[in-house]
Amino acid sequence: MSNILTTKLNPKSADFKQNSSAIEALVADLQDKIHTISLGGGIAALEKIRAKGKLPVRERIDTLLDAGSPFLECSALAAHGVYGEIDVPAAGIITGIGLVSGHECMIIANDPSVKGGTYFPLTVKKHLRAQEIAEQNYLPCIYLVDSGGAFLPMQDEVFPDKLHFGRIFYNQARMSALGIPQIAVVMGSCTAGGAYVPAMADESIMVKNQATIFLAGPPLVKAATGEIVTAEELGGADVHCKISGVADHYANDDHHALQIARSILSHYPKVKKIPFAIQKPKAPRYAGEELYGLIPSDKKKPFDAREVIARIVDDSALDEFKQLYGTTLICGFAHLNGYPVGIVANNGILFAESADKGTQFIQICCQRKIPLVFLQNINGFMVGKKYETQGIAKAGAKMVTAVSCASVPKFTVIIGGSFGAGNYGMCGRAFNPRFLWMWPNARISVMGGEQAANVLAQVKKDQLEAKGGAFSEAEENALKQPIMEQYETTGHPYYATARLWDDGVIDPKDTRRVLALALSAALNAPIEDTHFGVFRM
Amino acid sequence: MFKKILIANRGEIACRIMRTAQQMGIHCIAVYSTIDENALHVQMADEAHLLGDAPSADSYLCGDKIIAIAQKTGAEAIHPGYGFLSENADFAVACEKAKITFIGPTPAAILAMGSKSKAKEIMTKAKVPCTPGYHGEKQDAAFLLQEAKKIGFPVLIKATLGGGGKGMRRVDDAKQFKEALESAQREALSSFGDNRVLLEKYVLNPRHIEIQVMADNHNNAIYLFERDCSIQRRHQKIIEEAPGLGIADNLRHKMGDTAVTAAKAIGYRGAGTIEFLLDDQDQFYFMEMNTRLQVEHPVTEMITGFDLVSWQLHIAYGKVLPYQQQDLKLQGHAIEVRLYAEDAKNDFLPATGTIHYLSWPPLSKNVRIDSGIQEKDSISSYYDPMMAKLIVHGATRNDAINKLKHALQQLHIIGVKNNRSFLQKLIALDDFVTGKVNTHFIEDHATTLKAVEDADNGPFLCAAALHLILDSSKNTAGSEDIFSPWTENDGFRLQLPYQRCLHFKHEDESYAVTVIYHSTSNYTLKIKDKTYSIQLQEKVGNSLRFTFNDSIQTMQVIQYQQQLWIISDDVEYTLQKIEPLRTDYVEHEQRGHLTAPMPGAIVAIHVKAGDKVQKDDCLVVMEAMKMEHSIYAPEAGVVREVFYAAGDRVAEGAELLAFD
Repeated sequence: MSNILTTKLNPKSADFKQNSSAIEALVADLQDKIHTISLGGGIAALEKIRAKGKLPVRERIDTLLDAGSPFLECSALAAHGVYGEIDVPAAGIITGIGLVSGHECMIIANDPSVKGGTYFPLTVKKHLRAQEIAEQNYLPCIYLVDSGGAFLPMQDEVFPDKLHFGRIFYNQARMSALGIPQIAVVMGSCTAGGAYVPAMADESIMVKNQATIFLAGPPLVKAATGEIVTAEELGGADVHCKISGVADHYANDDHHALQIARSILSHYPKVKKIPFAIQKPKAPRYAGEELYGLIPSDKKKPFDAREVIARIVDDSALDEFKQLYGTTLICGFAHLNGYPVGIVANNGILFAESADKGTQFIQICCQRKIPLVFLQNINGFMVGKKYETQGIAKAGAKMVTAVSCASVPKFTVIIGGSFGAGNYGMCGRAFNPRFLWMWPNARISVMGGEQAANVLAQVKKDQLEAKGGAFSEAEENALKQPIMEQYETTGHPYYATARLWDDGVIDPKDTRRVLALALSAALNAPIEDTHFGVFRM
Repeated sequence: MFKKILIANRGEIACRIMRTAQQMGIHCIAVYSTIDENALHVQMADEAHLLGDAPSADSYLCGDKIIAIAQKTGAEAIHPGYGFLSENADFAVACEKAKITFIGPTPAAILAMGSKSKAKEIMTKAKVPCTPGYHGEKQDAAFLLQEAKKIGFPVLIKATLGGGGKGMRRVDDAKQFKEALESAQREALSSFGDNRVLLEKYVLNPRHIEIQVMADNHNNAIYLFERDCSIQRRHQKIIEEAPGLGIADNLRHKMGDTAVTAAKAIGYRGAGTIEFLLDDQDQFYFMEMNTRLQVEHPVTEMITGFDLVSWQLHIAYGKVLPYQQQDLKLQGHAIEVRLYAEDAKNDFLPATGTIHYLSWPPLSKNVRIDSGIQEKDSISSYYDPMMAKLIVHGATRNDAINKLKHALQQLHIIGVKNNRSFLQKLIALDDFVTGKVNTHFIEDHATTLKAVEDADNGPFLCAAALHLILDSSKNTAGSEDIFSPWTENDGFRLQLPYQRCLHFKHEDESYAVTVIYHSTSNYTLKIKDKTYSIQLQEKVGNSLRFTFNDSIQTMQVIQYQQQLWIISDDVEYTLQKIEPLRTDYVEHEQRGHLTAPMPGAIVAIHVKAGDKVQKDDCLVVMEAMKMEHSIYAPEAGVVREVFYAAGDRVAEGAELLAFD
């Protein structure tokens, strides 16, 4: 039996064309938004930065990375539309993975063109998420520091809590202890708490006449002690590289500083070990662009996950596990860019059998240390008396236990709906996938907007009828409409990604490439043994 | 036949001799200096022995050491090649004393021909026509000037013991005489250990025609026709051909018979060359006799079908010449070009460097390469800068020129500046093709030869950029992630384009190439106001095949550090990769310092600290590769400090003096 997936898609069909144009519009909108965001504080702000002899943040990253290296940016849409009047593109911080002197590194770079690079609550969240990715995958961290510190009007949401500012330094210390290099390149101001980024780094670089590090800036010093001092005298590169020893390397300008960082990484002797046999990558037999024609414009219409898998895995080859059992969940072995993977993909609502099948498959992958790729398109678990008495909750719990405990690298792509407990079983954000991305057509919420509206309408109807009243269709629609609208807004990928519920919204055709990069990056960390919790039988 | 011989030489001639000797079943012993340890002639030899340090005086000129090695290894004969000890009578005598056959003429013949004045005396006696000149012992400047006036300007000052253009100066009027004389004397002293000079009439529109002779120990001597070596630069031949252009049979026989007469006059044995100056009236004058195998002997081999090295070995072994004059037949036409490590654009200044890439044209019985170089070799300033010779043979001269053109297109020596493209331009000149050559050919065509063709360099810049693009992003060495998606070099970004800018310099022109990535093989390149669409087809080793707008290009790109060489068909295009924004690459200002343009020795320093100098004053004279180079003041100023003295050896780039 051939393991090559076949396709039923017909690019000539009206459906395909209609679907394609709908997705193309979504992708175009995404591109448009990201292009605007890539300008940071805007063209004028970038020009001002250039006029100071500095490089805009994205050029800093391009200069730091090896020429031609991919840059797997995280959450470019972070903070998009979150702070009302205040626009904070990319949350004022660019994070992502790229090659530096041959090593996959996590780059965390402040964007001084956005509110002086200050930290909003989501800036902190994005910074911490990048550090989390670095720690999970053993990626050296390079901090390009150019920030005024906390955004003071929101200091209460930035400073005090467990996952607030202090966590940055906690992470630096912990990662350094794990042997993950922490390199800081100070290219602008680095005040107060921010001063600890270079101070906590293994090695730090400062740009002369441009970078400053101090716990308190000149105004605060004057207020506190009356001492009058310039920023450069207080904490410039000359002070810290020649006198205080707070920084280690002295750079003439941005380019020089980034060259020094590259040089530091060139001396990092770690060699990447691959824990399993890999194959020469083979392109899928079907073009990734065809995914556009697959996704129905009507969200209620299902689509065959095998068509998606066929456009992601090597040679479109999938060896299915329990193909004939629990058919609403597809499980199978494949290769992605030559790396072995276990694919778990929804193909309908989850039944107890599908959940059991998924649990067993996850156990196998953990035993064999095969990374897992979850393709989420799930409305939830089956409901109803029959299923509850069958113990569907038990089956779901087992799958959630398996997903929670699995120590192999996990990757989740939300390709359609992500609703209810389906999100849990299919490795949602709470289950620590190494990366999680959404397609622009996807939706995420506790349940679908229509179901939520129906549930609330039903409750209302029951209440009214209990009191002998009636609930007209018009009243029902009036109740349902705003609920559905609210779900549409808060379940939208832009809403989700702005709040860092994922690592970014991706173009469906990039899925294979993005997964390959993430898989490769994840292999920098050893794959630990998995110890499962108690499975309810 | 000899069982074992020693080859007291290096480079192409050592390899050339070994090729024949080894084919004859002779065990070949090479000698080498420390820097030649890995040279081709050492690798080819059956055994090799170290002579000493790089300077010739410590190695290839050490006759005693060479004879000691020959004795130790049981070599029966020594072949001196050309240059070095080939025309050193003392060495020939020492060989005789050590009972080792010197493959060459008798010491007496060497001595007789080694002194130009004595040679002329002998030739005049033998009724061989000679040019007017002064060949006497009296060397004071005023006297020599008198003599020069007697001969009539222009005259040529030549080192009495000279050869190869060293210690030679052309003087057009009496005013220039003194300076030229001093310079010639100095060069003569450093090259031959003897500063005596002779004067000669400078023949106008002369051609350099030389006759190859072969003589045995049994009173037989024949001539193997002539070679035309008129095309010279710095008085050194660069193109040689046989037979001579437009030499009628009767002239050929007349010159040949004269040459045989000359050889017999000194009891010559072995391979020798009689050089004549031929004027436009078919008058010819004896210039000198070279008592060795000449660099250009292959053209004679091509037109006669004989192996002259094999003849030399037979004659030295005491055998009789295998042929008589009437057996010889001239077949077709042969041309040799010499490939020198030199900067043709900069007065043929010798060049040094490392050969990063080497490719020869396909060899056949009509296309021959004599070389002593291979990839990774360094060309130093210690020895003659000739790296290789390309020799072609055709049915006619035109046929030979066409073959030469084609072969030169396929010949690439990358990493060391060389005269390949200069030769290409030279042989393409109408006057060369129609045979209007004389010894001033290069000076006469200097303007045409120096012209820079304004070719579209877009494809070269694109090839260089493509090379760098493909050479970028790599995982760390030793990574087991061998198919890593991180190294696909497509600059992948999520929803954003990726572009980068590459900077190059060609001569004085800078180019910024903006590369917009579309995939791992598809790019848009913007250079100045032009846009190119590039699609990589295939990369095999250094070779790139790519679509360039609507055509397909195949080019080789060779990179060494910041230097790039792009080879397309016959064009070699050099580019310097620059990183204009990298502060750690900024070169420091050179103003106020004068540095050595090449490695060599200081001959004279004309200034001392505190001296005021004018722009273009000669400050320092250096010698490199036996050639003198003057270093002039780039502007007026005061010398602050002088760092070297005459006689010191300096490295390329060494600061010679500082001035304010």
